[in-house]
Amino acid sequence: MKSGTWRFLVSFIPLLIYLLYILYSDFSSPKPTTSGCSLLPHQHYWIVSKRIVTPHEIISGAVEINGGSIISLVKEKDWLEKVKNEPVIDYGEAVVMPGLIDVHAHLDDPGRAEWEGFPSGTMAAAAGGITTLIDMPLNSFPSTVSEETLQLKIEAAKGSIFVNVGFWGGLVPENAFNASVLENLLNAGVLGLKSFMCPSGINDFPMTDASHIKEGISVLAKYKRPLLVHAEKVQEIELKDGDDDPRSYSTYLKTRPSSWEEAAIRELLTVSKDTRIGGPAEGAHLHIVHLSDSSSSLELIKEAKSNGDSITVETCPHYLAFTAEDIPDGDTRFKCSPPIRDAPNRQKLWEALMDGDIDMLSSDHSPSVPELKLFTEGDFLRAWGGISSLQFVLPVTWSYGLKYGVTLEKLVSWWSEKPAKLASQDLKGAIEIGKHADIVVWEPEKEFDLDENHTVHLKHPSISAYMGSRLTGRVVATFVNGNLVFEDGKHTPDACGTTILA
Amino acid sequence: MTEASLRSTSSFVTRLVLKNRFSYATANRFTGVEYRFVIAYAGDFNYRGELPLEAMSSCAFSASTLRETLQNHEPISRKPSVFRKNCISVDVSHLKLTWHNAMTWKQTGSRLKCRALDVENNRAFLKGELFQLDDVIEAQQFDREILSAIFEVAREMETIEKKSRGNQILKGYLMATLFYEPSTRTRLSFESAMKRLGGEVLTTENAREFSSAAKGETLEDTIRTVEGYSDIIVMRHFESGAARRAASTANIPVINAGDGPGQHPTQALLDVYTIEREIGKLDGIKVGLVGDLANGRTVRSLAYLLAKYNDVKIYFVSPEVVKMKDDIKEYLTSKGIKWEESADLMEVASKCDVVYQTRIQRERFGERVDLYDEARGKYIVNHDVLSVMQKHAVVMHPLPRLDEITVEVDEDPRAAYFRQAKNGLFIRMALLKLLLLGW
Repeated sequence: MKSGTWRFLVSFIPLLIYLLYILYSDFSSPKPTTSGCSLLPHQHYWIVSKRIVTPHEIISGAVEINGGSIISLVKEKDWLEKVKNEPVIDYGEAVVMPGLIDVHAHLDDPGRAEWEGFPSGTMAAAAGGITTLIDMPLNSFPSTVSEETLQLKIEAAKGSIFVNVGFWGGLVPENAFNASVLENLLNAGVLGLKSFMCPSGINDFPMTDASHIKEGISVLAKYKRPLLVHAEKVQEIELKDGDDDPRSYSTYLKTRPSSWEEAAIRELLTVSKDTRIGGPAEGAHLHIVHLSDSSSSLELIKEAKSNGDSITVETCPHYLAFTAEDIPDGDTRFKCSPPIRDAPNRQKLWEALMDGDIDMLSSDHSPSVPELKLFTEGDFLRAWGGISSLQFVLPVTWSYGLKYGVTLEKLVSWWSEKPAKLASQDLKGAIEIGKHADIVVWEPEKEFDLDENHTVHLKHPSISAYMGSRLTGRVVATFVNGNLVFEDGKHTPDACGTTILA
Repeated sequence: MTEASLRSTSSFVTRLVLKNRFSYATANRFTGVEYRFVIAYAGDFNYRGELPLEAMSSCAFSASTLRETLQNHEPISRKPSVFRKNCISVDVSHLKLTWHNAMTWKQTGSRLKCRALDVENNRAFLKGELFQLDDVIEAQQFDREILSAIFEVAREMETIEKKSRGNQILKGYLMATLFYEPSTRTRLSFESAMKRLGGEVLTTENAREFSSAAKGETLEDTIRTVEGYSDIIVMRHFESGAARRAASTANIPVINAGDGPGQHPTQALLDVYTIEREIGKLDGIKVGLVGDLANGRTVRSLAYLLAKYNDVKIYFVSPEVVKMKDDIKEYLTSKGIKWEESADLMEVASKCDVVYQTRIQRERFGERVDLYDEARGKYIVNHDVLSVMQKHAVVMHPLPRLDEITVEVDEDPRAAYFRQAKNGLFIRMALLKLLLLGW
C-alpha cells in the first residue's frame, strides 16, 4: 500500500476513537427508560422523606428501590453516603407509607363496566394511594364462581389496570357441594372465596347458609385461604304500616336492624370453630366483611377469637364517618348494606378499631350507574345500595380518625399490613427490604374540598357520598411495583398493573 | 377419648411427657395469634427411622399440620404447659435431638398411641406478658405452672451465661443488694446475675452497721430511701418476716435473699431446678432429706415445693434432736405426698433419686457434744453411701459444707452440689429478668 493511502487511513483513527467513546458512554450511563408504565424514567432510584413508616418505627431517611422491589432502607444521617449515581426523589415532609391494599372492591368488570370498570376504578385507586385491589366476584357479569368465569375477568383486566388486582371467587349453592368446581376455581388463582348470607341483589350470586359455608371452608382448609362472608341474615321484622316515608333514612334503617348481623354471625360461629387448631377445617379462615353493628355482633366475634377460631373482621370508612342521624332525606348516596347506624354505634366502632378488635378496613366500593340510585325519587327502599369511595378512603379514614387518636402506624396496620395477611400477600403491606415497592406518598396535613375542582377519576363521581365534604390528607404520588403510576393529578399513559393470582 | 380413660392413662402420659417433650409454636397466618404446643408420644421407645404419619392422622391432630411442624420446627422449650384439648402428639424421646435428627427415627414393632392431653390454653406465660408476681418473698408464692415457666427462662439464661459478655437485656437497670447479714455466696450470686445481664449493682453487706440502722431507722424508711436509688432490691435480713414488710413498703420489686430462720425462696427454686435438670423430672421422684431438718430453712422450703408435684416420696433422715417439724409433715400428708422418717442413711440412699444433705449445727446440741459427734458420724455422705446410691441419683447440698460430705465424693459425677450453686446463678438471672422485664 502506498504510504499516502496509509496515512490517510490513519488520520481516521481519532475519529474512530471518538465514536467508540460515545458508544461506550452510552452503554454505561443509566439509560432512561421511556416506557408508558411509569412517570419516572428510572428503574433504580431512591425515595427520601422525613417520615417513612416502617414496621417498627417512623424514620427519616431513604428507601432504595430497584426492579420493583425495596432493596434497602437507610436512616437519616447515612443516606447521603449510600446514594451513588442513582436518582433521588426527595418528598420532604410528606409521609411515605406502604400502598393501601383494599380487599373489598366491586369493579364490575366485565359485564357491568358502565357501573365502574377496570380502567376508571384502578385509576381512582391509584389517585387514592391504593396499590392493590382485590376484586369481589359479583356485580361483574357473569359472577366469578368458576374457573371459566375467572378467566373472563383476567382477560378483561389485561392492559386495563393501573394498580395490582387480585380476585376473590364466589361461594354459592351451585358450587358449594361441588368440590371439584371449587378446587378448579382455587387452582385457577383466586385468593379466597366470598359468600353472602342474605340476598346479594345480583341474580347469579345467590345466598348461602351455614351448611354451604361449612363445605366451603373444608375445601379452603387445604388451600389455606380465607372465606369472606357478608354476615346479615334476613329476620322477620315487624313492619309498621302506613306512613313510613321512604325518603327518610330511618325507614330504611328499620328494615335492616342489627339483629340481622347478630343472627348471621351467630350462625357463622357454629361453623367457625372448625377452623381452630386441631379442628377439621384447620388452615381455613373466616373474615366478616363490612361490620356495621358494634354491639352484640362485635361481642360474639371477640368471644370467637378468644376461643381460638381463625376469624377476622373488617369495617369500612363510611361506617366510621357517617351516622344515621346526619343522613338527609332522599340522599340515597348513603344507602348501603349493612346500613350506616347511629352515633353511639359509630363511637363503639372507632373504639373497637383502635383497640384492635376490628382488624382492618376496606372500602366496599360498590358503585352503580346514577339512574339506579333513584336520586329524583330519593326512595331509600328501592335505590341501589352501595357507597362509592375508592379514591378517598385514605383521607376519609385520616380526617375522621384524627379526633379518635389515629396514628400513621395504625393506618398502615388497618390498610396495608392486615389486608396483606388476609390476601396472603407476604411481599406486600410494609416498607421492608425485599418487599414489593408499592408505596403511597401523601401529605396528612393538607386539607382540600372534594368539589368540582378536585379531579375524581371514578366513573360516576356524583354518586359518591363524600362529594362536597372537606377532607384532610392529599395523595402526592403512588408507586406500584416500583413504577410511578400517579403524581400531581397525572397518571401514566399505560395501565401496567399486574393481576395477582394465588 | 372418654374422660375416664384419659384419667387412667394420664399419669403414665404425664410421666413420659415430663421427660421427653418438645414444644413448638405456630402462628395463625391470618390473625398472627401464636399457639404453643407440646409434642408427646406414648408408645415404645425404640426408635430410629421414620415417623409413621399416617397413623397419626387418626388422632385429633391433623396430619398436614404435624408434617409441617415436624419439618419447620426448632425445639423452643420444654414447657409442660398448656395447650388446647384435642391437641396431641408424638413424643420424641431424646432431648438433644433436633427435629432433623428426629425425622430419622423409626418405631420398632409395636403400638403407636395417641393421647389427648387435656389442659387449657394459658397465655399467661407467653412472651411479652408481665410476670405474675411483684416480689419474690417465699416459696409459697409458686405453683407448678409458674415454676416450669421460670425454669424455662433459667434454661435460656444458661446459654446466655456461656456466651456471656454482650447480653444487655438489663442494661440501665440498678439492683441494690441490701444485706443485713453477711452472705458471700448469695450476694455474689445475685450480683453476678445482674452484671451478666448488663445491669449495675449497688451493694452492701453491712447494712446492720450502717449509721442509719444504728441510729434506729426503721426498715420501712430504709426501703423507701433505697428504692429511690434503684430498680430492684435484694434483701437479706436477720428477722423473719422482714422481706414481706419490705415488699409491702416498696414500689419496686423485692427479692428475699433469706430472712432469718424463715424463708430463702431463691434457694428453694434453685434446688428444685437442679433436681429437674439432674434427674429430668419432678413427678414420681424419691428425695432423701438428710441432716438438720428442724432448723434448716432450705429443706423446709424444698419439702414445701416438692409437694406441688405428683407421686413424690420424701424420706427424712436426721438425728432425733433435729427431726423435721410436724407442720411440714402435716402439710405433706394433706397434699397426698408420702413421707417416711428413717435413721438409716444407707438404706434411704439406695432408694432415692436425690440425697439432699445439710449441715448439722453443733449449737443445736447444747452440752451434749457426745450426741453431736455420734449424729455427725451417722449422717456423713461418703464413698460408701455413694456406692449404694443408684447410677442416676445425685447428691445435693446447699453449701457451705464442712465434712458432712467427704471430699472424695466430689469427683463422682453424681455430686451435684457445685452445679447446684451454678444453677443458683441462672435462677437468679431468670428472676431478675422476669421481675424487671416480664416474660
